[in-house]
Amino acid sequence: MQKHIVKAFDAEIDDLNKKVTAMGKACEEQIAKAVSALGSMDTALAQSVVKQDKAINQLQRGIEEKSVSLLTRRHPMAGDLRYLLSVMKIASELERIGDYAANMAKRILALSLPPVQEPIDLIVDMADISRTMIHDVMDAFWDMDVEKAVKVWQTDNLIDRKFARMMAMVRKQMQDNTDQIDDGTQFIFMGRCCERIGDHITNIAEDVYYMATGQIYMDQCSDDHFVC
Amino acid sequence: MQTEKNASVSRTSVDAASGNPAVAGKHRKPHLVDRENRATVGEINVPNPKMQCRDVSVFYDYGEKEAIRKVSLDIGQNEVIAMIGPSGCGKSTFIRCLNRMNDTIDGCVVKGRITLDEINIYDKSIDVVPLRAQVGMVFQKPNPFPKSIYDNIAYGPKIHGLVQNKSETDDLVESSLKRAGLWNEVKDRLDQPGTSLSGGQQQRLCIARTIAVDPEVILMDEPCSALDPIATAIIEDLIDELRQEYSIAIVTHSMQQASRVSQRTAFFHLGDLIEVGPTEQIFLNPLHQLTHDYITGRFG
Repeated sequence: MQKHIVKAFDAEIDDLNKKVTAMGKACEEQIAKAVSALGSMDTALAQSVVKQDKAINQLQRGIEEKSVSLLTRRHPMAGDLRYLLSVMKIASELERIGDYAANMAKRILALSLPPVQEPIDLIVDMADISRTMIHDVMDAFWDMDVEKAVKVWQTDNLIDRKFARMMAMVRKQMQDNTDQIDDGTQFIFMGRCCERIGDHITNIAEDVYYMATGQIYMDQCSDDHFVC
Repeated sequence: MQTEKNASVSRTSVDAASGNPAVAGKHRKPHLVDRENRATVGEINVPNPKMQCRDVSVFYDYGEKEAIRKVSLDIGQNEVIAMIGPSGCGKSTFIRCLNRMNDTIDGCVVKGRITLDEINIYDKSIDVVPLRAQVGMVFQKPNPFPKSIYDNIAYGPKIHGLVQNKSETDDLVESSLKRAGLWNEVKDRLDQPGTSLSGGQQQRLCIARTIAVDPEVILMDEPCSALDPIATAIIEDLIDELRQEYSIAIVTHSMQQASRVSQRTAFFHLGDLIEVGPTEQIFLNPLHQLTHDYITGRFG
């Protein structure tokens, strides 16, 4: 695609792209740290994840301010307008993802020691999938790669399936052993955080799809896409 | 902040290889028509056409220079259609065909068919004087006659025989100035020269003059380019009101103005009508690469 006649506009968009990408990377790292803290029951690491959430919120505010500034000063049209509208939504989705990573970390602090391992393995699996999804969706954003965005969107099914498995497992453990109710509740919350992270990533994939095509992804979907 | 720094460094290297998504993304939008394709994209027809243009070509210098090429487009009843495009693209040439203003240019040849209510306006039997009353025109620079405000309005109806006496003329002057939103500002000084008004008032006087002869279509060639933002807003508000009674074709270099005032937008480039469609679609999700690149400021 051709560059803008006004070079400063290109420079500002480039700067905004870097901010969004940095925020995606920060969220990816927050999830990685939260899951690492869960695997090793590292409470200090979990606390650092909780603390770091403020930095993610600041990144979102920076992106919003820059986007509003560009909307106000540049009066973007067509692809540029869709880009800025999408960037503001993507930043909002990433901010929520950051919140869920911090929530996961808070739940780690409430677990008994040592917790049962099986639900942890499934939560780690879900978190790993979500990390890959964030990475891929940010690549899709960067490259305006519609196909990659759609693949990310479809990957969310994996998280949903694992969440359903984890819920069944934890429910059974809590029924079989009432001592597990407290930890089981924390696991359910953590699993739910992963599941919601997946949902927010699919929203980002939809934003990328709209940004690149001007179409609403859900309008383009056949019913097959919704089969889990 | 370390995270952000790392991400920036990493992405900068990607930038060099594949480009920035909004600036030079490597994935072309799959639905955009190639810039080499010169056929009109979008729906040229409307269900209720006031004017219909088919295969309209205009040549200057006795056929030496082709200004527009086989343009086909409907102008709907009670719609505002905006013509946009870079300088020299043919948008003004096109609207000047709609009331045969190009007839006044030596060596200008118009081919194709243009109808007003299904009557060919280039038919030999057509008298251009009443045609230009039916299809009125407002120009970039306000051009009031060197007469009083009153006479600026009254002159046209008098020569077209639309008024029979002073009373009828007074009524028409008042109603025209009211429809143009100028009455309250000039009702106490109708005998003063039209040229004594401000730029925005002069332009509204010209619009009042145009509507005084009871047109059906109003052509506007950059009517606000010489006006300040307030005068522009007043004219745009007026255009929206006039749409209830007339069809309006407006040429503008302001993308924002086109998006504010029109229901449909036509994009011209180097004499071709590249794309026409609903204004919201043109400015949010155009179909042609050239339209997209023009309205986003990538060439002009």
